[in-house]
Amino acid sequence: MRHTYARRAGTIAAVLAVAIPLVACGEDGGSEASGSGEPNETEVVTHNEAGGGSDLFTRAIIEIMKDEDIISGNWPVANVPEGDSIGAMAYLVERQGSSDAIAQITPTWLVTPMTVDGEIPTLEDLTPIAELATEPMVVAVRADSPYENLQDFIDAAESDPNLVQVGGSTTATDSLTGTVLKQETGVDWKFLSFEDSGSRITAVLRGDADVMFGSPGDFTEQVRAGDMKVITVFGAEKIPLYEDAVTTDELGITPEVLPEQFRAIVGAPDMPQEAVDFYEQAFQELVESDGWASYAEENGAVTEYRDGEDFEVFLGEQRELYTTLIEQLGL
Amino acid sequence: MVVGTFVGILPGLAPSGTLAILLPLAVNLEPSTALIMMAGIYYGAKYGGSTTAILLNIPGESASVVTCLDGYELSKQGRAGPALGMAAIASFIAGTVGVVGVTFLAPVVAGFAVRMGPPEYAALMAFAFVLVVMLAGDSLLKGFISMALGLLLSTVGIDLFSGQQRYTFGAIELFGGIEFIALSIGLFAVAEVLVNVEQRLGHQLFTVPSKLRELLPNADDFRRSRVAIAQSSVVGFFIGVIPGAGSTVASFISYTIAKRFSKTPERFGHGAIEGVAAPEAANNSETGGALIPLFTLGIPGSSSTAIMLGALVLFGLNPGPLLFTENPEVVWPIIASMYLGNVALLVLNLPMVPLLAKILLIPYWVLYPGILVISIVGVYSVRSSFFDVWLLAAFGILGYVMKKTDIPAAPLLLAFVLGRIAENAIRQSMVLSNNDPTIFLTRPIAAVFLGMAVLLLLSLGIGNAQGVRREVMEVED
Repeated sequence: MRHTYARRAGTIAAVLAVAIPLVACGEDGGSEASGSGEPNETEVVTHNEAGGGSDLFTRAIIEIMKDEDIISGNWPVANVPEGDSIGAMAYLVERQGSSDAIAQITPTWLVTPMTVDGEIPTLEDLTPIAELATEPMVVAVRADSPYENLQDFIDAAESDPNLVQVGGSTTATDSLTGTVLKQETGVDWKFLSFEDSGSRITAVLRGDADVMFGSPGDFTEQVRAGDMKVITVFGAEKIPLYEDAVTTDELGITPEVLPEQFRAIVGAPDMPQEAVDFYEQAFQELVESDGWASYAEENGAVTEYRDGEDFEVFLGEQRELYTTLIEQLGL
Repeated sequence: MVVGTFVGILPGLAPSGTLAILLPLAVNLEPSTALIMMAGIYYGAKYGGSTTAILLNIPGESASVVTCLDGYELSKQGRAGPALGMAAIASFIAGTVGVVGVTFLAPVVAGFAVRMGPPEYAALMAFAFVLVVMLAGDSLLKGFISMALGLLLSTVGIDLFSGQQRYTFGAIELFGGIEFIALSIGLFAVAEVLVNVEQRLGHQLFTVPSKLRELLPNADDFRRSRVAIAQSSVVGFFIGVIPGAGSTVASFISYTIAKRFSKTPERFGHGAIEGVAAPEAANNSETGGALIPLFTLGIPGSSSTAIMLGALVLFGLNPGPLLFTENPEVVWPIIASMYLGNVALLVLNLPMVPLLAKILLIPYWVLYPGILVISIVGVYSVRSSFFDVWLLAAFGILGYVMKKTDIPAAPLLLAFVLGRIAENAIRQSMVLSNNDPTIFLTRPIAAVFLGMAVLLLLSLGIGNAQGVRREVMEVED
């Protein structure tokens, strides 16, 4: 009996002996490359699954940078969707001091840690690099909807509390915007959560939802096909993509704070200064390129480049804005 | 396509992961060439996923979990060859049915994808949960225990509606829920190895097929499987069209339907060849179905099609309602390539059957550690997480305990997959209806699904009571 136990134990030990080093090798490969100029292979982290909005944005800018010869290497995208940006931050924190790990961030990276208890990494742990653009939020409805602008919807909701706004989770920018509007106007409507924007769009097409807030790029195809229309743009500026849509300023809807969707780049904690300089240069060249100009136009992004101290100030302002917002909304 | 097959064989390397890795490479090719390559990998991975499921009880991707149930039993009976062969043939037939569906039904069926809202999902899930009961095996009580465990595990993660954490114990790795591959490989492969090592069964576990005649399915196998393949091709296609349901749900549902309509349901789970044919067929016709919302609405129905959407966008194409009319030069070659791809995969896979079946000749003291190594590497590679390897170990032990106490693992996995979809759909429906449950009856499609669920429940409860009793007695004998 003892003999066979020993053999069994041996078998298991053999397995572990083979498997664990094999797994361990994968752990820290690739983070050593450092030095001047372009890192060999920069890994770009996104908090989306492959195919999500931020993932597509990340892949698109890497493509443009390659096409425009701003970078020469292959920059792989790392999808770390766990915990809606918290997993992605933890992933970068593990690469402390690395020159070749950066991430493309959105306001989610500021907001999610505010709503989660416990010891978790935050954006302050990471190295700020540059802001690239903002995407004004737009309001979309089904093509045959009676609403001509956001005010029509709010008026309708005043007499019918069963109207539905469809969007993401409670802390997503679209939901926060809706909550700000409800506080501002004192009108209430229902909020329906879906994990992905595809399901949100079908909810509008099906008639389950009356209105959807989203990025301009979310609706281009449905609008072109005549299935949906974009009726209002948040903020002061009209966007070329949807010329007919009025702005909330024109409608006189001007809450004190409005969440704003921005897209920026940060690096691993304690990234060497020469790497930061390289990335600042590269992303500045990106937003000045023709490839970026046409991408931004097609997707309704507004170029807004900031780096160095400017960017840190901007991040600080955004953090304050969202902290106030989260406190006000009691989230 | 060869890449895809190997990807499928390697557990953990899911089709979506591979597509994501290859995306930057694909962008340098012509759009249609690149998309054909990606479709080929997507396809190949689905063919290959069944191989380790049948031979080693390792589900190579989530959709092959169901294939393990009868496929591995067949392997133990020395019929690995016919099982592998049938998997390839069923995949070929159903894959082709799926492509024919895309070719002729795309615009018609696209409307169906839009009409599936939260109440319809909830009702479909109700139907699926009744089907889970049928997987319960010999004891209903044990089936329910297994299902309850699965539901419990499915609640782990951040709640979509409130943003609150549930049972994550602060572990970031659990925020997105438990990794399905770690759960399924733990419950199946690791548990199987543990049980066998303990039983000292392993001098030579498998009956070694000696004659070539036994390496391919025989006429009897085909006779048994043809209805299952036909049913599953259709079921798989339509489940594919529904965004978010996915191939795991497709394979589970068609397996249980095949069992329900079988004249000899008691053979399922004990090495029924149609128990391999059904899920493999559904898994492959689902591929065709899943492309429909992508091509006609620009809405991906699964993670793999989401990446293909990404590829379309990177090529400057606009996946949306106008894709078919504005870019026919891209869409049609992809569809055409899928017809050829199915033939190529059959030609590629069938001759490999005898070769792959030889894996079973490996002595157990090499094979078992090998299975564990493949399991660990596979689980780790999904998202480079050591945490998942520990989860794998924990679920291996859970699976071992369940095997010892005769609690079936399949209801747990099915409930795990369905639980999250069902919970979100029910809560979304309640938001829509202001907590009025009649929404499930007033929406026609939802009512039809619920009606099917009730009918099935009745047929199980009354009509089949005797059959079930007989089945139980036979097993006890």
